[in-house]
Amino acid sequence: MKTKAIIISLLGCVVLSIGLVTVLFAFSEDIVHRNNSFIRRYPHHPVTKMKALDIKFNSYYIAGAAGDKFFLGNVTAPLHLLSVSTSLEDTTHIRLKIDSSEKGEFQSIKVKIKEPYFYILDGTVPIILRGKIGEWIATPYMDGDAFFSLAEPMESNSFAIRARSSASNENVLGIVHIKDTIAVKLSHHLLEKQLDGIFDTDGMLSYNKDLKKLVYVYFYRNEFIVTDENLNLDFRGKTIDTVSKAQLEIAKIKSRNKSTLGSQALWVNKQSFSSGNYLFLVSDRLGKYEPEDMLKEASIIDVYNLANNTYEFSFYLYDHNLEKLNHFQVFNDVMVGILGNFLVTYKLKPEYFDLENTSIESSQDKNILRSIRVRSKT
Amino acid sequence: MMSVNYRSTEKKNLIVEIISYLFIILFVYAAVSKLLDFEQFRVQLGQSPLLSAFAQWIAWAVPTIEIVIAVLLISPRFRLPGLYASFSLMIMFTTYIIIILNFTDFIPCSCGGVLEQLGWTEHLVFNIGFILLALLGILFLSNNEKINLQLAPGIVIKT
Repeated sequence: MKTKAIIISLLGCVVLSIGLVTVLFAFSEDIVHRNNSFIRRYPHHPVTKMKALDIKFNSYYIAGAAGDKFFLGNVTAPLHLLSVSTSLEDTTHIRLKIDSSEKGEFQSIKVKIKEPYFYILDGTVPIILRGKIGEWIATPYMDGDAFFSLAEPMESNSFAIRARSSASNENVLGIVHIKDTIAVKLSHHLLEKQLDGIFDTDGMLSYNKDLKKLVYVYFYRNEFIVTDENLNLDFRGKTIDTVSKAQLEIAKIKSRNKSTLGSQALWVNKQSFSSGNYLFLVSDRLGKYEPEDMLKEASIIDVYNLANNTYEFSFYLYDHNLEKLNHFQVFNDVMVGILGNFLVTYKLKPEYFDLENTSIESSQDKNILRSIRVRSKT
Repeated sequence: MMSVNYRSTEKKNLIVEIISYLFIILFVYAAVSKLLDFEQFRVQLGQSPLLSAFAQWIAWAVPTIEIVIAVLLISPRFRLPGLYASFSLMIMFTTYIIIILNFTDFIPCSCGGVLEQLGWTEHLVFNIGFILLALLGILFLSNNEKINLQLAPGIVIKT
């Protein structure tokens, strides 16, 4: 009888203890997933460093990739391009030539690569020049039709741009179609004004060539916009951050009729790139339970899945030679970053990244299939 | 002459005593080291895939419970409920480790040099050892002291 009582008590302890931890686990999973309370999930090294190459200068940025090469543009030498093999073993210096009468009027040149072309863009002129990769001679492609502050080459002779609306003097997203004639279409409802429509809507534009989607990420709020190539809104995504309203101080200098950004801007998203099903965001905002020291030695990259509009996980991208990540892009399963004077490649591990089923459509198909299956069950 | 039975009871009492003090040392050590670097502990819990949403209060509850159990174990009167509580707590820790190792998508990153895969497995063996000790203590003590046994279920339900 006595032994029986002991065994019952012990079994009771076992069941209650295991039950309690399991229930806590189940609830915790639920809260982290659904509420999107600002808690990051850090899996075990979803990205591993492959190789680093000293490129001697810190003024390089990634212009794009084509074939088995990365191409780096340079801010201080705008017509200089560095080609680096994806294995980071060979480098070639390229001098871009401009076949145009308008030389020397550029103010802020950006070079972008989109196979089979390279583009030289300057939205202040405004001008877009285009040439074949390998030939490296650029001729005017769009000349003086639309000013822009950001531009991304897309498929089929079109560009996504961010421009200033002449009607409202606020930031707007637009499309430039270049055929026999040049058509500019602006979309006034995509960027949503919170303060002045200029600083508060500032952000980053990136074109996802795998999904054929355009992604605009705000700097100062926890939101990004996904549209198709014609600027039809797919959805507005929320990041895990909690700042939904831009916190900026916009100082008006009346004597000069100028607005400028006050000192207290709260940056929510600092860098972004979209590739495959994923959106990669660099943020230096700390979530709950994150050690502050990490920001001294690494950048935090949050990964979102655009196919089902969810937060996947985050990872640390460690500084290289004490230099932080300045700029990065992702090509299939390779992430390439510029950290100070170094070009570094990272491998996205297939256990964490689904790199095969890359399509918003396919995931919708899956959902449809699932709902059909559910229906047939009932 | 002492009877054999009495002698073995004496021995069992000694073993129970030793087990209790092992648990006291373990829990006091664990609680103090958590409280000394409380911020770090809270951060680690928060990053754990299992309990992140409750980290705030679990961070306080765990060392508190450990100290309460240690206090229970010190006094002979509450030793049996103390052993039941130790047993339960060790089972909880073990469940936590098993869930972490098997059922979550990922094991918390060991980047900070905090958690290593090996560490978890070692922990598991260590915990199972202590569960067996608690079990032994409960069995020995229950055979000797009948009064305390009746206290046990009430305490058990609380945990």
